[in-house]
Amino acid sequence: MVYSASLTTYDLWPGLRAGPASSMTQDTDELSSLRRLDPHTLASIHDRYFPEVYRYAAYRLGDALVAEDVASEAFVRLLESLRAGAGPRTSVRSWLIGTANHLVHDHFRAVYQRPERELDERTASENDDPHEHLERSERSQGLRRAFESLTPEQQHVLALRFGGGYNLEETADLMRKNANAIKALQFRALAALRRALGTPGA
Amino acid sequence: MTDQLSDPLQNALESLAQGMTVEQVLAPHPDLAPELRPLLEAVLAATELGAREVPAGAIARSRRRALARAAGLKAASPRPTRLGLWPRLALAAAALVVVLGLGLDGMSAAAAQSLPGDILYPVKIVSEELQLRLATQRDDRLNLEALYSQRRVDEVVGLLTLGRELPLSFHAIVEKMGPTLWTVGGIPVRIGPETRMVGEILTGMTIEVNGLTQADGTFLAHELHLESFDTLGPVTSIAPDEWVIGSVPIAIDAETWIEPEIRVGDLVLVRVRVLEDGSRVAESILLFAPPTPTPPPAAPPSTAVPQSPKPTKTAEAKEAEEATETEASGEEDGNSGPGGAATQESGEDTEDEPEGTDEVKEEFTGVVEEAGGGQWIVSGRVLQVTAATEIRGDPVVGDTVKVVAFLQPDGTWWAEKIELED
Repeated sequence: MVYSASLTTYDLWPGLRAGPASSMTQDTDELSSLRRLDPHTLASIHDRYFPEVYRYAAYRLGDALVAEDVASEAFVRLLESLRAGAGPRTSVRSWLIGTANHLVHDHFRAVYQRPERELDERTASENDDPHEHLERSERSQGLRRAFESLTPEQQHVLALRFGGGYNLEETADLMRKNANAIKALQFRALAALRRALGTPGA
Repeated sequence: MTDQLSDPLQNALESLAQGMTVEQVLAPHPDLAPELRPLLEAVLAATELGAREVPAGAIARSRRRALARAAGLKAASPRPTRLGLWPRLALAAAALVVVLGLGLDGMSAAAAQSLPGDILYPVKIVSEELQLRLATQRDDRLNLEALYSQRRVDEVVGLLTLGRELPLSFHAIVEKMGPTLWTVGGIPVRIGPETRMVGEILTGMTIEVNGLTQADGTFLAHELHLESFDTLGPVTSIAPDEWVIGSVPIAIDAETWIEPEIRVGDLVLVRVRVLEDGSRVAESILLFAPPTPTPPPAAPPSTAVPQSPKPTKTAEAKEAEEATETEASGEEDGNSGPGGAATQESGEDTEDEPEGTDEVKEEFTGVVEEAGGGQWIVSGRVLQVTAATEIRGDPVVGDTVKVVAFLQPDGTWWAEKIELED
């Protein structure tokens, strides 16, 4: 499988241009309200962060249903942790993404799954040429296999950078590393992904 | 190499994000282009994995669940404190009024419908305990235990339907195991990081679930405790305190119920109870079929495979017994075993076995857990797969398949057919 760098502009990567929907604001005020289980605060925080958490989980898992379950579970865990006197101190988003990361780990540990069998929703269309569709589906499966051959940390950084669209500093914040460490990690992750995908023309 | 390229790579990514072309990005670095280009190709691939739209309704579904959980947590705290004297007296008086108003028969009927947390629920439990004490026959006691166990499950379902939060425990069979959600006795059981698991639990096993009914309709598990499972295999040796089934030794104690006339070589169905210390004791041993004098139709593979818990096949056991016209008449009740074993797996009951057959054939439906080589695992069952095995539909791990398998003389199962379910 070959991924050509022939495209001219980076339209496929809107996340990095636009950045995540919300910034890394301090959520301390909302957190105290959330600790009291205020439904309005909860609904507000949920709706703000759910898409980010879902996209992260979907990127890692390649399965829309499991991703929804993981994202939803992250919010339930948030409530339970806050109620138990734990949970995030400042950034709700960091906590949610971190929890989603753990849930993804748990998922891979706990169940046998088959992401390569999942049809990529973005490429599936009734109007597709079946041959073209099959090609895309095979490519998608190959890509998913290559991604899953990476280490969990490499998957995590790619999911944040290219799935979540977080910039370098945000990714560093979410992974609790410095920016240089993220640069090195994303380099290794991309090099490993390239190797797993095979060399051009192969 | 990492140090040399990680900065230029980051710069290239930022330039791409600003709308520059790959060639434009690479132009100022002709010396690094051979290394950077493949990395940028990987970026394209990595990008292709992302940009998923959030499914319609997902946010609303998750929000509902979170709000329900918040409401549940709110309702659960502050925790109910021990009632003072006067409130307790008031409660007792209320119960008395209910009893007097309904009369004994009415109270009994009302108590039977009660759920944990209801005033009359203790009456229901005391009544059950009384009936259990009065049951002197083993079969009667087992039947009552199975009935009450199912009642506990039904009560959990009732509480979940009402959205009541209560700490409870129940015993049931694991039907599905997902990452955070299992199905146990038809109840959605939420598994959290704090959930403690005791024993190696697999689909088809009976477990005790301790936890909390939740307002969102799920049961939050605090602890899952493996209680028992069924295994099928040939009797290899018989001793007063231990039988060996296949190659697995299983302890026997005074409580073990053993069907008469079982000999070495017989195929038996064993219900294994897992004790607190992890040791395993046979609860019951039932004759499944006599020894197979002739080999099955296909050549068995030569490699030995480990035994694994097998799903119960009570119906088949009965049929096998009837086919062989066993002398142990009047023992059919034992086949049902404690807890209604016939429901213990997603496997489907087979059609009637041909009478007088020498082969032990089994058909079941399960989920492929391992596939490849000469050995597959379907819903915890180890199957030998050879060139003679007919595999339809290209099943892979995670798929649900129909399996037709034959028991081999060495106690392993050879898969004749594995077919992907629609």
